[in-house]
Order: sequence, then structure tokens, then C-alpha cells
Amino acid sequence: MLIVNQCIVALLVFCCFPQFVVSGEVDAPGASNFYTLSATLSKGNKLALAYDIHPCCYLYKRSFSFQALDSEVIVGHVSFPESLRHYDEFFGDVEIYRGEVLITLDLDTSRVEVRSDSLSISVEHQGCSDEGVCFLPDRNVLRFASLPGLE
Amino acid sequence: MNKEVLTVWVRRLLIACVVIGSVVTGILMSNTRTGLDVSAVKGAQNAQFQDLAGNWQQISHWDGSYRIVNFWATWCPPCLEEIPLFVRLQGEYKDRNVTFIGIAVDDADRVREFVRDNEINYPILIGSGDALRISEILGNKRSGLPFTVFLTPSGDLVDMHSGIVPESKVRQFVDKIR
Repeated sequence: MLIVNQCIVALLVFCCFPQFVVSGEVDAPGASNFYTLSATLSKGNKLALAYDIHPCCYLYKRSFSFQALDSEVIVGHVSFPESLRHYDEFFGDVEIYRGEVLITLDLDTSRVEVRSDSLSISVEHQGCSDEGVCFLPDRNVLRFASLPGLE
Repeated sequence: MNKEVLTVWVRRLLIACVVIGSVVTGILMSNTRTGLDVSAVKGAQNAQFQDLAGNWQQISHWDGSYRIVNFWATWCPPCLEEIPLFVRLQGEYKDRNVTFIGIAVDDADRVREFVRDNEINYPILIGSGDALRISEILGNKRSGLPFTVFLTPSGDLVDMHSGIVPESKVRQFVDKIR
């Protein structure tokens, strides 16, 4: 029994041997999972975008862009929450977001004629991690079956 | 030799086998310790990217030299932070058969402007999403930038780094060259 126990310990040493650790690769989120985004379209044609950003990472405020993919809909006023200040070696002082972030878009649908028309909104942003890894600008297309304000 | 002594020696022998096995396996895996598909890694080095003059190039074009291949972008602050180090070391190592290669995941005009303004003294290739996919084949599991790989003259991937590369890591790679 003692032999078995000692072999288990030795196997643990084997598994922890440093040559199996790949440098620079840590158990941290990547481009595909450092944030989640959920969207809610409400009456009054307000689109609420709720981001939940991993604690290791942040999104640049200036990187956000929103575009309606339907020609009749116009993205109007965008309400951003208060941002955080961040110093970049190359870009100087920039505004960023961390944690939970709620952004609200006012959609102008006055030109929409078909009441059951669908809606597609393109949302872009870009972020980095505190350990110095940045992720490619990301684009999500949000599709809604109908415009609640017109129903 | 009584049974108790024999048991102790068998136990010691078993532990020694496991430890030695781990060391040997670690050494044998040192060239493929990333767990990457070696043939895919070699194939990725033949991916075509345009250089700043518009000519098609590939990483394997520089076969025969030790290569430090850096994936970067102008929108990525840590990428821009480490480039002066590469410029300085490329100058220092120009007679050591070491070539830095930058692969920009970016817009060509912005890359040209940055290269001109910062007097980059090593080859720059330009890609987009395809360049990021090549970096993923080379081990960029997080799909982030900067990402750097270290290649031997025959194209073996011996090390990689996600994020800003410490100067000591580059020097360690070059110091192994005889």
C-alpha cells in the first residue's frame, strides 16, 4: 500500500514537471470568451446592450461602434455609462470599461413602413487584458424578429 | 538481504523510474512541448502574406535563419510597446543569423505609416483574419496579440510567447545559437 502511495506522489511530480508548462500560455480567457453580451429591445425602440467583461480584461470606449443594417432604421443617441481612465504607453490616457456595462441605443424607426419588419444591428468593440494581450476588434450582429415599438 | 530491505529498494527503484521518465519525456517533448501538430506548424510557415511592397512572402522564405516571428497590430498597445526592442535586437543580432519577422493583423496603410515612422529594420508582412488563424495554428490559443514564436532554421517551433516578450527570452533564444 505504501508503495502505491509513493508512486502516486511520484506521478504527481511527473505531472507537475516544469517542462510541461508552455511559456506565455496561462489559463486566461481568450478573444472568444473574455466578455458576454446580451441585448434587449424594448418598447420605445431602446436597445439595451449588457456586457459582462471578465475581471482580467477591459473594452475601449472609443472602439464601440453601432450600425443598423436596415436602411430604414437609424441609430440615434447612444448612452454610455461613466468610463474609467486608463493609461496606454502609446495612446496615452484612454477611456475603458470593466465588469458589467450597460449601453443604451435610441433607435429611430420613423422611416420604417412595414410594421412587422425585423431589425439587425451591428455592434463592434475591441479590448485587451491586463497582462498585455489584445483581442482583434470584434463584431456582433444582433437580429430581432420585429420592432416592438411598431407592433 | 531480508524482505524488508528488498521492499525499500523496489520502492526507491519505482520512484526513480517515474522521476527519470518525467525528465526524459520532458526533454523529448521540448521541441513539441506546445502539443501542436508539427506538420501543421510547418504548413503554416508556407502561408502567403504581402510585404510592404506588395510582393507575396511566407515565413519559410527565411528558412536557414533563426526566426522570431511576431504577430502584431497598430491598434494593439502592447504590440507597439515591444517593437522598439525588436528593432534594437535586430540591429544587434544582424550577424548572428537571426531574423525578426513582423506579421501585422491590420490595415495595410496604417502598417506602412507605422513602419515608416518607427524605422522598423526587419521584414513586415501584412495579413488580416487569415494571419490570426496562422498564429492560432502556431499556438496562439487565446487569439490575442502580440504573439511571438521562435523558429529554428529548419522551421521547428521551439518556443512561443503570448503578450510582450521579455528581452531575456529573446536573448536566451539567441544565446543557444552556436
